[in-house]
Amino acid sequence: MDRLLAIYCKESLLEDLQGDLHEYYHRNLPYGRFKANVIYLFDVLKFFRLYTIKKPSYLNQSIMLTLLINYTKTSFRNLKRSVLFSSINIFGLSIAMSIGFLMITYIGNLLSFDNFHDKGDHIYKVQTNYVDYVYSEGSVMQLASSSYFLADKLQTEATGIEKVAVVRYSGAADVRYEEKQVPLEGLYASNDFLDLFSFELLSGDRASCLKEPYSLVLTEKGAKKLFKDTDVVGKTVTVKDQSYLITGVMKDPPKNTHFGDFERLESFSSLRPKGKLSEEWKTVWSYHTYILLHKEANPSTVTEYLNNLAEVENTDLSKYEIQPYLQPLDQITPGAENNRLGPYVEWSDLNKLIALTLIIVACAIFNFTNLSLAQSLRRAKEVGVRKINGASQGHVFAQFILEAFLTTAIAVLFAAALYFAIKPEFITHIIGEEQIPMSVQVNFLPYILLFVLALSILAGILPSYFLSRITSKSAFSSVQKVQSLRGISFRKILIVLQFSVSMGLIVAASIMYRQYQFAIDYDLGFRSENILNIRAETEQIPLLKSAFRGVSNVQKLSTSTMIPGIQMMYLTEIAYEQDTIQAFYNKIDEAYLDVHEIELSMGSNFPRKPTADSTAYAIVDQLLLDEFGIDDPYEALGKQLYDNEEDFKYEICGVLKNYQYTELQSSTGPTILIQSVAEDQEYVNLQIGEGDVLEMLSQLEETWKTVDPLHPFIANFYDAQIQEAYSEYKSMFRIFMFLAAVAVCISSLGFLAIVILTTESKVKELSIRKVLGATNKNLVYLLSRNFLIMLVIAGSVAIPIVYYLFDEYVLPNFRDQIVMGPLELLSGFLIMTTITFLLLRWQALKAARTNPAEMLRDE
Amino acid sequence: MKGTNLGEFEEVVLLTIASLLDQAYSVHIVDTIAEVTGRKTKLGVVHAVLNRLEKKGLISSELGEPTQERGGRRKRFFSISHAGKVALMKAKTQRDQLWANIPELVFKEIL
Repeated sequence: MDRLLAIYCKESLLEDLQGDLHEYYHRNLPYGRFKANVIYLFDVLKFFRLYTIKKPSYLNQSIMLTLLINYTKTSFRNLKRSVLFSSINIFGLSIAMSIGFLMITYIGNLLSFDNFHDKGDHIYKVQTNYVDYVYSEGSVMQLASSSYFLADKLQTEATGIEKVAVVRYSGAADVRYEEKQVPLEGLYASNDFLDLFSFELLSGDRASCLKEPYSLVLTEKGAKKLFKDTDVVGKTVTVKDQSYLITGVMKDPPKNTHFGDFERLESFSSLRPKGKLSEEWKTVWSYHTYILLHKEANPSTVTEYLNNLAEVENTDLSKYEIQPYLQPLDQITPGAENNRLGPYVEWSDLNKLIALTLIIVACAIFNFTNLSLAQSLRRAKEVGVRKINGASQGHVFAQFILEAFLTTAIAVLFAAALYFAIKPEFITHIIGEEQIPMSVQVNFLPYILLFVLALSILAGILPSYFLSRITSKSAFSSVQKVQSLRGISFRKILIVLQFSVSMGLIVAASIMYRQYQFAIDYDLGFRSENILNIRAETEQIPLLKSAFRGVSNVQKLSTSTMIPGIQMMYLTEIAYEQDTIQAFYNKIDEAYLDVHEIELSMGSNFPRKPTADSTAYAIVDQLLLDEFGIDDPYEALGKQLYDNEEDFKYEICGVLKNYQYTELQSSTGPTILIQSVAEDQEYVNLQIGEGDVLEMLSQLEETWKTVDPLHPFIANFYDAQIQEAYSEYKSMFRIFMFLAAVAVCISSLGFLAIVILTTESKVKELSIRKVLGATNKNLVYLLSRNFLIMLVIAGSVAIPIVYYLFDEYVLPNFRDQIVMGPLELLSGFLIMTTITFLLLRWQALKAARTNPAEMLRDE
Repeated sequence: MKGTNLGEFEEVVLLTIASLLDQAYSVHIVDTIAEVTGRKTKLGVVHAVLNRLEKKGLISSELGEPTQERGGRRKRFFSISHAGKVALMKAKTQRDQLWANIPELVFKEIL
């Protein structure tokens, strides 16, 4: 307990006070030891007065200034003296910092979404959990949308709600003014939309511009596209033969809103006369409902209302349940619900990115710690002198922390430059999402400062601690080396950690790469090479077909409603006798099977041209037959299927042999290829021959323009599209690759420095050994023995961890997955070992090549 | 000037130190005060006063020899300085003056 007093008490008073307390303690002893102890403790606390406490040493300003100058000077001298080590440190720190800055900008921008609405604090979005009981037992699909039925109920029945705004995605539509026609991205928005959300209106009446059916509000960008002018209120434009009145022009929405990039707002009230408004409880797929609560109202009352309503309405549904819930406006992004209007960003991906960034930062910190500790030999004497001159442990600690701050300060400059250099790359290659802005905002500054501060403290704390513990006695005694290298086992742990991180990242990257390659090369059961898919307007398809036939090098041609295998999925309800199932479908023409070289195990292609009556042919897969309990595919031919959604009959004319509708990371399901009988085709698939692709593409584009001058020509190679469908994994792979490379780079550099130091400290030993006849090989072995052990330890830690993580969390996301082989698993170990040996060999040979006489001259 | 006059407790402590001659150290002072005035004084309070008096230059202190009873720690002995003596005298004179001014009949009931 005496210590407690010593912590705060001035030295001049300490002894006397302690003595007094001691006397009292003995006096109190007769009352019992415990009581005496308690009294003692209270007395100690009571002595905590202004005059008894130590004056903190830093209060002495003039000395502090001199010290600061002195510390700074020594730090710079030290940085200059070991240019190699300092630059390795600064390099590692600046890379880590620039990546940290990138992450701060990225996450900061994500979190700033929709933070500019004045009433934002009271706005909630109604989202939906769609619980399915038929195809997956009680699995929940999260939807950003809800039903119009609900929006209506909320407006009329629920309490606590001031206003309700409903939005529906409309997509690009061709807007025509006189002779000019441009496609504009748009949303349907109800009249209160502009009341809830603070989008700036340039002209028009905010309160009523979206009220009447067929009113249109354009953004500045949209207006300029169509009119080259923004003063357009009152003009009439045409969309799909329906005339609209322009009632307002608004400023372009900022990028950080979850509504995405829209150019026109159409009044929501136009949906009803168009017959496009579905007002059922179960149509939860297209309406986005926002509520503005009264200032005093509690969202839980609305939640309660929603729960009660859901309970009543769900009784009519048997196969699934709809559970609406409230989401505060500022928490919409980041999120990854289906049907979102804005960007999809999953929290789990964000967490992965943050974790990887922290790994890089940790690598840089390890480097700094390691190098500073390894260099402590050189600084020991300095510490000794300082301590003899009266520096306390705290002073020395402060000095080295300050040095860490200086190093990071220099690194910040490089990091800033690096940040701006790699930001564009980061945006295109790693985020790959154009909807997320990467603007630098002033309010990130505190976080950046905090990050830099934390980084320098973390980097500096251990070396400072170890160095400040060197006593002046040990600094000058002959056993100094032993003393100052006390941190050696700790340093070994750091090296092992660094090795394992690098190895782990390399292994992860190589597994990702193999899985990605495997997925791309996977046989989906159809041809995708040299097939060009062209998106077209349905009504133009017949014309385009005949026009494209004339282009040389186009060998075969077919049409379809959609493109399977690229994360596009169309679902419909198919009934056979009593059973109903959901099936993936594609509507195709007669040439489709031929163009895509799809094989059938039974039956044949559609036998005849479509007829006008409501029957068509269909080709199904084995999974669909299994669902309906048709065991023999031969029996299936000629059976009648019924499409509930389209009210149409299909006759099975063929059975698919090995056809994959979905790509590897999605689940499979019954598939049906339906003969197209109406105008429902949206893609033209061209099989092209070898030859000049660019030449042919420009020919195709010219042909396109003669048929459809209005819409852009969008053509994609099928195999490229399939690769694109795995882009998530590709970008994951890229991120891993990039970060692994950075981590390996940082740790190899740090390792290089350690090797140099080790060789330097052993140079005399090496010389003696050489004189005594050791070969270069012996010397390399001598140096590398310890490192080899560390490599093995690192490998046996890192590889099982990565294996476990991938086996448990990453690979199960794929339907067909690779078996992790020794090549991938050992890759990290092999690469790191190679790097280590090359570095060691280089240094050992350098040491060996010096003349032993030079080294041993003064012994 | 504030601080030139002694406070009541300061005066008591100063008097005690003067009376204890070379035996005046904190615990002893506390005990003596308790004995004479019957006040239960806290060590911390006395310490604070001692510190203040020393700052005013009314007392001086030095460390004595280590003793067994204090776990080997030295006592800080206080002695009254010249300024302290002057201050005490001044206080006494002021009181005497005031006493002398009181007509005897004021205390008639008590006597």
